[in-house]
Amino acid sequence: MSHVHCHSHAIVGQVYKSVVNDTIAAVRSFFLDEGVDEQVLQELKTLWETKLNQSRAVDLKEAETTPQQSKSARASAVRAAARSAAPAAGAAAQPVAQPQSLVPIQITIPPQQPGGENKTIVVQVPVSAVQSGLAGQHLQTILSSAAAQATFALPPDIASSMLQQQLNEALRQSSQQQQRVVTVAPAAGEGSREPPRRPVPAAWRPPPPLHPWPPRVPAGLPLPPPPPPPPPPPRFHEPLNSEDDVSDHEPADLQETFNVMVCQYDKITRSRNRWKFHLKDGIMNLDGKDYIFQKAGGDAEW
Amino acid sequence: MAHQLYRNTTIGHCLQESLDELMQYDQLPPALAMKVLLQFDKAISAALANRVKSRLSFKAGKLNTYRFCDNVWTLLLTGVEFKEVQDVAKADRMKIVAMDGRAQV
Repeated sequence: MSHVHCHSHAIVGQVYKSVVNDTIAAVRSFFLDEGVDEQVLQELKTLWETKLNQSRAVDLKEAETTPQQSKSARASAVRAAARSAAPAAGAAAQPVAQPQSLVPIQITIPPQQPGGENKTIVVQVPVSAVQSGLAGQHLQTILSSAAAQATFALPPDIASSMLQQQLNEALRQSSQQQQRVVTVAPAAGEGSREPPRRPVPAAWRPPPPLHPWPPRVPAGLPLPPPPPPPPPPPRFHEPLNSEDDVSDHEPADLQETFNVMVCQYDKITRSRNRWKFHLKDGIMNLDGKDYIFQKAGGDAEW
Repeated sequence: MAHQLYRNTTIGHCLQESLDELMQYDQLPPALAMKVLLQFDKAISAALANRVKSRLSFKAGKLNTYRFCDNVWTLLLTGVEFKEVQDVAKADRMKIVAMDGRAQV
């Protein structure tokens, strides 16, 4: 359907604008009663219209300068708030996302001595480690260790290379022992990395210990019946006969637009397998565009 | 009370997301957000009943499934063709959710 010329699509913008205005006007008194500032109401209206514009389902023909400014200000405030929640003690890690296999992680070290300045060191981390959270865990461990404190006092480039080496070693060990926990005994008095104190993800839990065999029986005595074999460590099995399952074909992939019509029905009738629909007051989303109708009639065969 | 049906539309989702954002930053109490949604239900129902005049007709290749529960029809159509005067639009699949429009609740 030519979206520009189709009446039911062309009027959508006007109808939506009027609904937004009507709703905002109607709730103004509620806002005053609750003691909520008028500015919040304007913010709601702005957010609502901005999202409608961005949805591309309709053309609102609104000037976008003010809504976009407030939205971008809010987005940057959210980012700043997320940044200020520093995970490691005394240092803040700031991932800089780049479409490469190695991602530079910037670590800001507060001054170690009074009157000193912030130091910035950069370590390179594989993207996969960042995404899986491994990089964050290892960095947290390394940075909170006693050796790291000594490293911070060094010049930034030497500190970078030392931390980079520790991180690479940590990541290498993680990749070697994917299914088993690394039980590194903390060496007392040394600055080796301590075992992490955070909850261990399920994939890292060790398999249950095998039951010990009974002690060796001296020769000549009747052997006790052999104990049952120890339970195998839990492995992730695919459900049995999963290839026999018949699943209904999903009506629509998640990536595709799911065409939905929301409406009211006057009458829906059936004669054998011929269905007739009498619908009204509906909003339809077809290929991402919204259409509005007062009446709709249709036929289908079941 | 108007149908809450229209919350599952573009405009309804945009409103709900906006309200969620404001509630997340504690700028809006949840009770007030509920009132806004209820007012939206009334406004959209009134707009559709009074401001819209367009009529569509459609023909579906097939009614795949139908469900009627709690006075709500849920229909899944395939191979649908919509017509409005001279314009035609096609959809491989269309899901229709229809509430009872006969009685005023």
